[in-house]
Amino acid sequence: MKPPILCLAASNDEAAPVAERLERLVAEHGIRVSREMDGRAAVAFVAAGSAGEAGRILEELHESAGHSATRVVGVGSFGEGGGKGGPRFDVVVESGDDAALAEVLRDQFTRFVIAHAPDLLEETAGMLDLSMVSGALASARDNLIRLSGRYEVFEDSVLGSPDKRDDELEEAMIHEIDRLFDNPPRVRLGPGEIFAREGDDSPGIWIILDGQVELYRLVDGEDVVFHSESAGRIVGLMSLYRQSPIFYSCRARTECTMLYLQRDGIRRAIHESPEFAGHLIGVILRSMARRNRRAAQLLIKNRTLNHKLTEGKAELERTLDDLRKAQDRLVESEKMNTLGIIAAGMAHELNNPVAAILRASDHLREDLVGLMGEVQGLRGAAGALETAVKRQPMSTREEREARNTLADAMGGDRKLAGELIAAGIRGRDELERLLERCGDIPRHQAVVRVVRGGRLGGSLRNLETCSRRISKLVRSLKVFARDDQDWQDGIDVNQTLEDVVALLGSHLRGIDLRKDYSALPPVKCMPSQLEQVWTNVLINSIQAMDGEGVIRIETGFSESEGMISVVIEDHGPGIPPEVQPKLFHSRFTTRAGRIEFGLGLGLPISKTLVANHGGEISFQSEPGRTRFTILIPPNPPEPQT
Amino acid sequence: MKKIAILCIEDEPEVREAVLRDLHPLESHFIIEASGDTADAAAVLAEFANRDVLPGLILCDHRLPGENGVEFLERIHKTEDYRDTRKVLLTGQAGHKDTIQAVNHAGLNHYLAKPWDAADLVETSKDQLTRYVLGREDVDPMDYLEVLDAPKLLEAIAARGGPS
Repeated sequence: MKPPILCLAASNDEAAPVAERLERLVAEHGIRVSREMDGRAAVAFVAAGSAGEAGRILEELHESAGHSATRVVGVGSFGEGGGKGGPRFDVVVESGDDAALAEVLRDQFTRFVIAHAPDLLEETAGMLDLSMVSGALASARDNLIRLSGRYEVFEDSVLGSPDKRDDELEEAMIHEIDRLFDNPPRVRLGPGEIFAREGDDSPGIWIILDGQVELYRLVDGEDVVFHSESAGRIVGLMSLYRQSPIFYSCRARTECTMLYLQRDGIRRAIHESPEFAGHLIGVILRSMARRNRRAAQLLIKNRTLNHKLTEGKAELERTLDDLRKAQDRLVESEKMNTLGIIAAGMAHELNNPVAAILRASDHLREDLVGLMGEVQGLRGAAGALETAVKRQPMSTREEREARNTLADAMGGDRKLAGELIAAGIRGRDELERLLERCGDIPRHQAVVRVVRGGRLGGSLRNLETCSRRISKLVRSLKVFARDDQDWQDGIDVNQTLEDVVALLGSHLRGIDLRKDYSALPPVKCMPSQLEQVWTNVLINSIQAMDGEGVIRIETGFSESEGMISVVIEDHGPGIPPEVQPKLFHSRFTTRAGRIEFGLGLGLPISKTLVANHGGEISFQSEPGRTRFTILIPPNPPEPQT
Repeated sequence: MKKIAILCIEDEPEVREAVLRDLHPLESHFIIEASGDTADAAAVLAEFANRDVLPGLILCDHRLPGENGVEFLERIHKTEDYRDTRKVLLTGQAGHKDTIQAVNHAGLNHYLAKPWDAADLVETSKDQLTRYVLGREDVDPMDYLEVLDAPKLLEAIAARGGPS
């Protein structure tokens, strides 16, 4: 709808003539002339009789809603308008001059449309001063061109331009602030001065012109600096944007010069200057990017630290585990030391009584045989005694078979056969020969004497066998306790092996022993210790084969390596893979070995003994073949003890 | 009359001989046999079964070549034939665990430590055999008054309503 023209006056008489003239001017253009103060009028003509009247109407028009843009024309001769400081006419025209009125109408209407209703330009073209319209258009075009130039600056600032460094951007912004705010006052701070506190309200931002600041927060009762290098040039933006209390406390690190801009000021500056808005956004973006980078770096650092912590923890756990193992080993070796001391003591304490028992059993036999030999009726018993002493024990199965055979020979007397076998008498002929030597006594009495003699012999034999076993154990203990160190020169290793083979006697009964000795250089060694090693390894092999099969002993000397080698190989089932790594570890109870061979410590002790000689012991084992190799140098360095 | 046997399992001949010698007081009423390992022991038990001899008491060492004593006792305890056979460990080397295993799973009745006392060995054997005799319907306690725990046997006879 086209805006109306107003014609206002104190009375209808005054208004009517002007209104009529105006109506004639606008009728053909479809524009209404109203005498009331209504609508968003384009031009209002005030045809008051006096200056006072005109001033009052002017005041009324100014205060009424919807007429702020209305052009106001005074019709008459009363100067420019109302009271001092009050509203003024845009123009005044003489009441009688029709041509002037028409020109003023055209002029003022055109100004209104250009300024406030450009959409009516076409519709109201007949009413307009076209030269003024074209001038306005030219000016608008110039403004647009100028504005687009300013928005290019905005775009450059926001998006970043390759030929604009950060400090240039900041400088440009400060320049713009100075222009817009007419060089606002600079704030100067010394190092350590705090200019914003966490939790306070902040209505503005700080722009750091010079110097360094740091941002910190109270964490667990301690100030933690979050941004220092990464603080950037603008501080307080987040709080401003979110209209929340200050997040970081801010402190000058060095001498600082800064500007403080309040929210309202920033709003005005953005409104007036797209350049400033662009600079501000650009600076904010760079500032945020810097902090963001810092946060990312912190995150990465955090991860690295975490990783290192995890690694450190695992390392600590490993160390702890190692320490525990080391402690176990220490305890173990302490146990071994203690055992060694006890063993050495025991060996000394046991040695004499055992030697005495051994001797006493010999003496007992000599005296008994001598004594019985002197009595006519006891010679048969003495014979039975001497036979029984020399008897090798039979297995229980062999014993039963022998008993059955003897029982058959004795006419089925199983009880007597049992007694005779137990007394070491194994055949009827043997019994008869012994009975003959009993002299002239009843047969049943003679049998009793012979049986008793045989039992005496068996007991003496057991006494002797067991004493020897204890004696051997004592010797093992002494070697184990390294109480028996006796270095000797010129020892033939082959001979030490032969001694052991002789000593093992009955244990090798079921064994097919194949010896392959090479000529060896004389060795400096502790022969008893080497013998202990051969014994332990051989016993190990014999037990592995359940006392039956082939064992090979091979010796050799390698001049290039300067080592004598002793290889002991059996064809037993092999050492179970799970036991192999522990073979040389000290154990006390895990093996059902016979006590006389070192409490199941045979191989661990052997390792120590070989090491004493500067040598080494190793093995290869698979089912059907186990091979121990012992290497010793002919001239070992004598250890300090 | 069925004979009752004692089986001693011990691998070391000297020790075996000593045990047998100490069991001499029981020889008059019981068959006494010995084995050096559990394989031989099994053979002896089989022979007992053939000859209709009752396995009354097994005196067993723990450390033996091959199968150990507790394993053997556990194995035979699972068969009905040896459920009521009295079982005694005579050993110096059975550990805590082995012994618990024997009591819980092998029906072990008694544990004798080496070195043993002869009188103790005989008394223990008599006590175990008395229990065996009293547990059997097919054995007449009267036959063992002389050698076993007479008061206990008489008490049992009285409870059964006099001599059979």
